[in-house]
Amino acid sequence: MSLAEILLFWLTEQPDPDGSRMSYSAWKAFIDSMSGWLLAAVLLGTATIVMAYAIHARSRRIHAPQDLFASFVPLNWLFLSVIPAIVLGYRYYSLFETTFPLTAFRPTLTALEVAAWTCLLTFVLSHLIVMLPGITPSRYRYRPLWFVMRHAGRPAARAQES
Amino acid sequence: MNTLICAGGSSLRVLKAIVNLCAIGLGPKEIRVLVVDPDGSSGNGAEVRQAMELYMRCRERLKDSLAADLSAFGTAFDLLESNDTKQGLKVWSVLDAKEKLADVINYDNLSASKTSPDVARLFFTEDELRMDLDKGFMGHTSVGAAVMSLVSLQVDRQPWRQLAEKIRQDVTQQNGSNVFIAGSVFGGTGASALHPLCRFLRTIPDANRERLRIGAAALVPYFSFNDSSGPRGAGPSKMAAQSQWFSLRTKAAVQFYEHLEQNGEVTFDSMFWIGDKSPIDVRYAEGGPGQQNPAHFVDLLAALACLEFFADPSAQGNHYGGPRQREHPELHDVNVVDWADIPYRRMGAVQVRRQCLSFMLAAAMHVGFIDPLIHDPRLAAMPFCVPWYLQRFARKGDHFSRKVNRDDVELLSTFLSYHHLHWWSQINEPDNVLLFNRTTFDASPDGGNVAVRLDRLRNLVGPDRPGERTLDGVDEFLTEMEHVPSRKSGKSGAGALLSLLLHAADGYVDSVYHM
Repeated sequence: MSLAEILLFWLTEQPDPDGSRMSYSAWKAFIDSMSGWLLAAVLLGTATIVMAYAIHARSRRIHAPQDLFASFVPLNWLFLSVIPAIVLGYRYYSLFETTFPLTAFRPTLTALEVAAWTCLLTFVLSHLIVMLPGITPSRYRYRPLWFVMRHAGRPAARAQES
Repeated sequence: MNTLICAGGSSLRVLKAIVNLCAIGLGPKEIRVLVVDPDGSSGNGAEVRQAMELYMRCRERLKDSLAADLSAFGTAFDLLESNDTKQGLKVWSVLDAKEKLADVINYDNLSASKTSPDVARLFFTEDELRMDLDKGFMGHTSVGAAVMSLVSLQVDRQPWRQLAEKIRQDVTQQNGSNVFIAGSVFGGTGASALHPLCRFLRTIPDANRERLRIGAAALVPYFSFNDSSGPRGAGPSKMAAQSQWFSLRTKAAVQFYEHLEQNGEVTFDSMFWIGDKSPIDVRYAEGGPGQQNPAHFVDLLAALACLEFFADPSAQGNHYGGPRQREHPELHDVNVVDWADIPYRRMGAVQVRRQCLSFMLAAAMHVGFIDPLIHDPRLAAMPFCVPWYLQRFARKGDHFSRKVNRDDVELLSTFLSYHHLHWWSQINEPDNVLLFNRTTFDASPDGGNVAVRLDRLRNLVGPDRPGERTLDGVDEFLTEMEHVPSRKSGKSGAGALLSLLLHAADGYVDSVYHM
């Protein structure tokens, strides 16, 4: 199984079946190239996001009790995943236009799909990495897991004794 | 078994120091306490009673849930409770209310008993015979000594009967009985009580008398007052104590004990002479609730001497404590007191400093950060924002929103704020005391409770260094809390919280203070 079949699994078949305008071998070479681009964009994007996150999280200081409950802004770095998505979407669109000038098929929608997929992969991979011990400082350990942990306190709130 | 007898007003401040040192974890397993003071209503007495009560309640609530390797609140105080007396710290007076010396010696009927009243007049003035003694002996040692010599008649009454029985039981054991008496030798009650009490205690054991070891902290002048420092219109009475006589009385006391020693009279096994040649000025009060002198480092030294005696009663003879004769560049010719002056040979000054500092850090963080955090409703709703809380408490269902935990935390906060930090803030107030950074203490406007300025966490010891002020110390401390192994975090509730704080403080001392 090739990298393209894993990363761009829904693009294994050429969108334009007319071989004179888009040969199978040209399409295969195109998505192989795009999968390489996607892998590079995701890895580079993830590395950048994790580094920015780690530096930011380490620079945060708790000085008063309310600081513990302040929104954990280092997690906002995860939204940087849109940058590799934009780069890859644009790259897909421009490379498609250059490689297959004769085809009537428009690559806009597929470029958006590739961009969204890149964004999702980068976001999820970055999020998984920031949850690893050592990346998030111990005093913020559970902040990246807020979506799992947000219900942890509800029984406590209910358990208040009069 | 250890027994502490506090005689007079100064000794009450020593007792408060002992309570605080026992909270830190420097005390023995158990201490029996009895206070001898005719002035049962003094301000210092009320303060120490409250501190003792809070300590005992804290200990009761925390002892089973503290981590096993911690000794905080480790000393059990036996207040000689019995069914026929009231609860709490016992303040015993040889006199009944409104009794005067003339009543005690039956002065008005001496002629009828064929004893000439001139004998009494030889030792006491008419004013001394008729003075009110409900506020203590007010520096009249001769009156106090005469009254206190009657202590031997009390052996069948409480609390002495109970104490005597316990001492007799103690001396049947190999470890014997250690009795420590604290009192000043320059005032009234303490100076009058030290020797009569010692003489009385020596008569208690019927056998194994050598197993009864008696030590004493003889406090020599470390404070003074002038008459004008009292409240308006409340000038001293003719019989009131006057600080210009302190030195002379001290000299007489030293000569007295020297005389006893030279004549081979068995008195104290160990005697600790503690004072300060630069006495602080205190507000004048004749006695009663107004007599509430601030804590002083001499109290701390006397308390450590007491704990030293309990830890090693075999060290016999006279010991001397007080600030070393050395200069500090910023204070010119003033003798300074720093941690090197803390004489606790058994454990070592470095270890004493470390434990005091760790407890201070834990207290500072508890009062300044953890207590407000626990009262924040967001903690119950979003415990994942505070990993140590989620992991060690919330996941076990041990929420601090529970009333029992709230009450225990409140109790601990009150002790730490109103008694422990308040006490340290008073000790560190004079310029020559460089134990803790005096600028760290933040007293409430009424002066009752004291917090610590959290931006000084890195500079709690020694003189203030303004360049080191930062709240980042709080963040570092919280990181240490996360790193405390779960096996060291105690069982549950406030005990587990205190264990966590103390272990984190230990780690903080290692990483920031490099001790």
